[in-house]
Amino acid sequence: MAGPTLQTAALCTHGELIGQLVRQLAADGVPLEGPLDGDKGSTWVLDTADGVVTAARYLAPLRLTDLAGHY
Amino acid sequence: MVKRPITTTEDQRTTFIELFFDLVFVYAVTQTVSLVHEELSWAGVGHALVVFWLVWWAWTQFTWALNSADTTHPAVEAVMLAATAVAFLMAVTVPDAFGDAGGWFAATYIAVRVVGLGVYGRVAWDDVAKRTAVRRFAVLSVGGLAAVAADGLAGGDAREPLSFPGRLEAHGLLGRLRDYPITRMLTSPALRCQQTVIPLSQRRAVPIELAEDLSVEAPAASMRRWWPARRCKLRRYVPTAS
Repeated sequence: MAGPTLQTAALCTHGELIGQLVRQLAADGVPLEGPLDGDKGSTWVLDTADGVVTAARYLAPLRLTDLAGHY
Repeated sequence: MVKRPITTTEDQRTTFIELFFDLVFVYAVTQTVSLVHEELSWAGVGHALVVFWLVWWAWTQFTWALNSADTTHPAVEAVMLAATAVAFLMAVTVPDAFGDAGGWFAATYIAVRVVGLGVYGRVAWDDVAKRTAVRRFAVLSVGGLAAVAADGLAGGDAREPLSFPGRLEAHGLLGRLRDYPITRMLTSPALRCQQTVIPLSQRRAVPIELAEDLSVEAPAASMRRWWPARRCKLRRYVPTAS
């Protein structure tokens, strides 16, 4: 599954799995720009090179107040 | 007029209703194969064995009970037909007993077992030793049936819809990920996860792919293997305003 088609893939899963994944990345020494325990609805952007994760960046979820102007 | 007893000590021929009842249980057992067919792994084999054991146990309970019952008694025939109908519904849900139909399997299975316990208790009522044995069996069964019910309800987690704030955050992803190219979209089969990516899928015209590796039951290692990590220096996280 580490093929090139996942280089620009969006994956949606559960907080429990994301927490474990982020901890494993941290243990492997991947630079994390974000907390180990992210908020519900948050996103991690993983930078990859040759199918290998080189960095991970956290994007907080947009809250109701953030979206107030759009609804 | 003498009331016809519901029990008998005479040898009995197998009735057509009993054969029909057995046939439905044969169907339920054949259905367990689909659990392995759907998931060809040790987990799939384990699921099939658990369901097979439950189905076999329910059938066995009826055979014990009917040994003492007069199987030509109209009340016994009526109960057997009702149990057969519920057992058929149970058998239909077997292939998805560990998925979305978990609640239905648990409900119909418990109904079959409760009817079976009722018959067993009724035919053993006049014999003190048998009554005590059935009571002990019923108490033990309650534990097993509670486990089936709990598992059936737990299976419902996959059907939990996305909350209202979650739906708004799902639309928020359109802005959050605006600058990122997305050519594939994979999600846990859980309904709330699918609903999270629907707005993004529609905006980007990228189909949604369901991936069991992303389900809440999957070990993180199954997702982790998608991206092996390079060992490098850890940087401290500094929160920034979003």
